Amino acid sequence: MLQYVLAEHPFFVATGALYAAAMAFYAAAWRSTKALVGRVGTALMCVALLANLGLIVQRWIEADRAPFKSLFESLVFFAFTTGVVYLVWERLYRTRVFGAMAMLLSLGIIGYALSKWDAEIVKLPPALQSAWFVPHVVVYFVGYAAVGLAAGLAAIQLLAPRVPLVQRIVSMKAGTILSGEALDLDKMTYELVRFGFVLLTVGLLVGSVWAKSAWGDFWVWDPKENWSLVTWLVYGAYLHLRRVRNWRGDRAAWLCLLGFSVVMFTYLGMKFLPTADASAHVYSGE
Amino acid sequence: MNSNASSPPPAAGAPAAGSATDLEVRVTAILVTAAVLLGMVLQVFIPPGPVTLVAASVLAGAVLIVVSLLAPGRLRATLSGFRFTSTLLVVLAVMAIGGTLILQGKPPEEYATRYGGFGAIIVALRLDDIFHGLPFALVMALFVAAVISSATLRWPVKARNAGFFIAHVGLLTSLVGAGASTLLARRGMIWLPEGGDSASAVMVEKGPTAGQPAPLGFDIRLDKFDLDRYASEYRIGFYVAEPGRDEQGREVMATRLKTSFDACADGARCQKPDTSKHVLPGGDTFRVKAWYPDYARVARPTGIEHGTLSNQWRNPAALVEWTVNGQTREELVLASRPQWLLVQPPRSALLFEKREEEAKAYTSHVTVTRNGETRTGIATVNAPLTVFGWTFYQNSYQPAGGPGHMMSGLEAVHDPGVPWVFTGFFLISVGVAYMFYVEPRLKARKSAAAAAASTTARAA
Repeated sequence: MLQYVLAEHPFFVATGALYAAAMAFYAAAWRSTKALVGRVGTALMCVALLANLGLIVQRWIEADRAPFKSLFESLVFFAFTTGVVYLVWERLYRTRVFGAMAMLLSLGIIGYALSKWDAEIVKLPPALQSAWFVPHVVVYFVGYAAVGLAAGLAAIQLLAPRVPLVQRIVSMKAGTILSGEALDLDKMTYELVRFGFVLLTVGLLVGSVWAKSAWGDFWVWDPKENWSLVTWLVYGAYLHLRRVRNWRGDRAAWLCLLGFSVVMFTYLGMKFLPTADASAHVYSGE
Repeated sequence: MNSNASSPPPAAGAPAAGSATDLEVRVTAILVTAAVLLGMVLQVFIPPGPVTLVAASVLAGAVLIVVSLLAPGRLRATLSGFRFTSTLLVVLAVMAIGGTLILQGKPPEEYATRYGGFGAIIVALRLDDIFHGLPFALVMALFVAAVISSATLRWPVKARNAGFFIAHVGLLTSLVGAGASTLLARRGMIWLPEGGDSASAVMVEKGPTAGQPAPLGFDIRLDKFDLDRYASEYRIGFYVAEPGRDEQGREVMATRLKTSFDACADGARCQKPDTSKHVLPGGDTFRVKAWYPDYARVARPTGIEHGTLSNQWRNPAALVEWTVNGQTREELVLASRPQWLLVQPPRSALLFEKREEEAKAYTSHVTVTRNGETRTGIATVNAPLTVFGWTFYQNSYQPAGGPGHMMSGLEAVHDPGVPWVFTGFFLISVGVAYMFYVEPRLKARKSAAAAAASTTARAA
């Protein structure tokens, strides 16, 4: 199998290898006193993103349509959006502490995509040939990436007081925290969720408008629609509870993790539902 | 707005913060529990349905708002508080999940078949129609009351809280539109034969008038139906036989496509067929030595040889060379006569085949006549046709009558709630984006200005 993947899909393997290399440099930057190590991590991540973008463009050309139809294609795009959102976040917060975590996410998604390889490039059915298709998917996956990174931060926030190694990592290190300021994980998580929530909102509403133009109804209580709504409601609760006393810190972090679990179930779990047969939203290739 | 408290600051003489919080928690728990339990009890007498949903939501919501305005205490503060809204969002999420775990809107017999003894309980508790039931309606009433209370408490609107207000007005607008849709929309499928009879009414499928015909007010006729398919494409498929079960539950071996190699990278045009060597998942290799798009045996001076009559992919054949465990073989295979070429691992094989020609687009050309006025139009997937207040969505098709004739399935919809729903969506998007992208920057700018003023004052 490995021989087949290496021979037939070398670009895909190279993308995974670049994410792994970026992760290694980001992890090395935790211990290194040289800023160069972290910079190399960022540079490798940029190259990995370019390679990932290349995979998307190549598929777009091969399929002659936006490559978001199958689970495999969406995973490749998800790995890309995760990297892009992280890169912007790294620039904004001027820290590379969480680069390894973000690269692990992207690498994990690429690895999972390998197990969901498409047997064929699926043609786009008429309902998906819509101007809403690309904005709906792009907005959602950038949102997923944001709340995914937020969940990673929430996990670190919960682990840091309990695991000395994690505590050391999120403490000040040369080459990783460029601003020189202590990290406020709770605030960073909140700001990522806030950013992601807007996109989840727009994605949900765009999907609804699209459903209206394709099927004549903007909401049919389809399982995927319901779970997208659940995602929105859980993050809505997270944002509202932010204003309630004693709902910051660990509680908020747990809620953030719950929110991302719901996102993952919405994305990957529809086939496990007893009502899956009634859904028009189960990915091809699942 | 107090960023740490769940509701606006208490008035003078109100209980202290701790007891106010306790009271708010108690009121929240009582209201939400009462809504769910009362809904479940009343549901025994009032069946779920569109009218139940909208009437109960509006009535209970209105009563609650009036009571919250008149009653002393912290009811209004609780309703407009973040804690109350968060609780409602979680309860709504649980209900939405419930609707994906239990089949919705099926005949009672189906629940008995599918869920056994639990089927009767599901039907008795009306969990077969969660989203039209009274518990859902009463929780929605609480939600509407919460949205109205929290929005009105933030009046007058300022730049710093405009997003919150717009998003909540958007929510209300969408809910009003959804209510109007639930009550007033008429929708149903119309099957029109190509060049056949016209239709002048639709059998309503959902809403208060479900099961009754709704006159369209005009005649609609299908002149022509176009079904476009993706062009023929060919490939070498790598299949594996895997054990599975058939519809009767018997063990069978089923072939499953694991990967495929398209004959051409440029799709149906296929100017340069692929002749490169490929590695298969089992480690074997293959290549197509020669392609014959329009295969024929051709007489040449050297004898009868494989050849092609044209470059059109009419009768394609492939001369496949494949290596299994180091042994190389060669075979000419035709797509019109699929033939397995065995490779490793065991039960794996290559197959030269034509891909299924899936539907690319389908379009109905219709003529609409009303009082002598005639209009023509086109309905296709994702581009519905709106005429005389009805919108026709191209949803389905099936063969009909003679060869080449089709029936077009059009979903006819008259829905006065949609403009409200979409206006609400727009407001929600704008409001949420403003609230979470713009307002933090306005606040940060204000804080920075305040800090600068304070520094200047200290320096002075």
